[in-house]
Amino acid sequence: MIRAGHPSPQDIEAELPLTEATTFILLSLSVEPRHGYAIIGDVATLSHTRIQLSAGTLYGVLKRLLSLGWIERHDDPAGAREESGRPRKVYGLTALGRSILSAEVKRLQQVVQAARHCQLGGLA
Amino acid sequence: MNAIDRLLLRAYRAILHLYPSGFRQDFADEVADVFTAILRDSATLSSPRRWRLIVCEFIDAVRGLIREHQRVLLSPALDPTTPPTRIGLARDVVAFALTYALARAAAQVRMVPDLLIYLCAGWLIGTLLSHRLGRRPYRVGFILGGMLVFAGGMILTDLAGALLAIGLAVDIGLISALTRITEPLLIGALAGALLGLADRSRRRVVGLTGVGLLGFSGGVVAAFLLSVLLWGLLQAVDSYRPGYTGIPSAWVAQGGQWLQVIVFPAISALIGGALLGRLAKAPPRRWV
Repeated sequence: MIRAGHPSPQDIEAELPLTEATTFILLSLSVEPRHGYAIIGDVATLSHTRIQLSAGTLYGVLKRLLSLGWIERHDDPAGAREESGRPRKVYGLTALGRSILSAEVKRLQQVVQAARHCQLGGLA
Repeated sequence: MNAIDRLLLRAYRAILHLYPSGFRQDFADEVADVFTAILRDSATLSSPRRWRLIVCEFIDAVRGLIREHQRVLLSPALDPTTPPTRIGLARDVVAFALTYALARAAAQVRMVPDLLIYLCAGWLIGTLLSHRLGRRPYRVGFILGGMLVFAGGMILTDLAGALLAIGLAVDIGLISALTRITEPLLIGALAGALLGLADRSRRRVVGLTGVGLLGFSGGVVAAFLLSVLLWGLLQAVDSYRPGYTGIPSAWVAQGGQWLQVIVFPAISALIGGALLGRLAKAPPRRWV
């Protein structure tokens, strides 16, 4: 398990493959830092509503990603507040999280390429 | 938000309240805020779709509850809340020794039933353990463990003493001395076993039980020697009073009793506890 610093490609490879939910959450955060509810909406959009995260599932994943150092949490820079009046927290991708996501996307691209190759060969 | 939504939010918060304390402190409010937003935005959906969404949220909250507790329970190593320090270890050992000594003293005075005293002492030690080992969500488990250690150790030795007195007609004074000696040994062994279990390692159960036993044995010997020395000092001081006839004063007799009741168990627990913390080849944080 890698947490910070400069991970080697082997270290990053060891973390793959990611679960679908984790991949979509990281993809959502790769655009800009988002708060919990926005992540749920964005993941639903990105996955064409195939993945509908519940609040409990989302925060279970976010907690794990925070402990791994793949994402970070801070107060909303815009100073937005929740309905309850608490300052809204937003989650953003760290450099390590971005490296992991890039490696996962590369891996998926290779899978897609392989699938295409098989289709072209008439096997799929 | 209507009355039903408020009720749903309250029920959802009740489930969140059952999550491990670490998760609860960091995320419970946020999760509740997200659930509030889901309730708000789902108001536009048809009733069946809305209720299906809400039921799914509740089911996932319960699944998350099990998952988070599993994560804490199955974590490979203890996760202390504070880094180990010598001062921390000394503080814990002193707290352990004082708790034991006070429990023994209170039991001697017999103002309340012995069992209640033992359970209170165990409760204090269990709270201390759970705090130091960073297992706050499982405080109840540690408290019960502490109670088992104290009440078990003390009751078993008292029972053995009573059996000896009745069955073999052994002298009461000798039984009292035996009880004082075997009690910390048993508590040491049980405490070691409890710590090993808390660390989720069979090897450490055996190791810490042995170290607890040996540590408390060493403590008992040292405490015995020191008690004899202090007792001699008290008698020597008493011998200088005018009109001394060889019979110790009441305060010396009383002092001897307190030596037996407080100093003896305190020192045995102090030394035994310190050895348990040090000789287990584990960071001091891992024991108390």
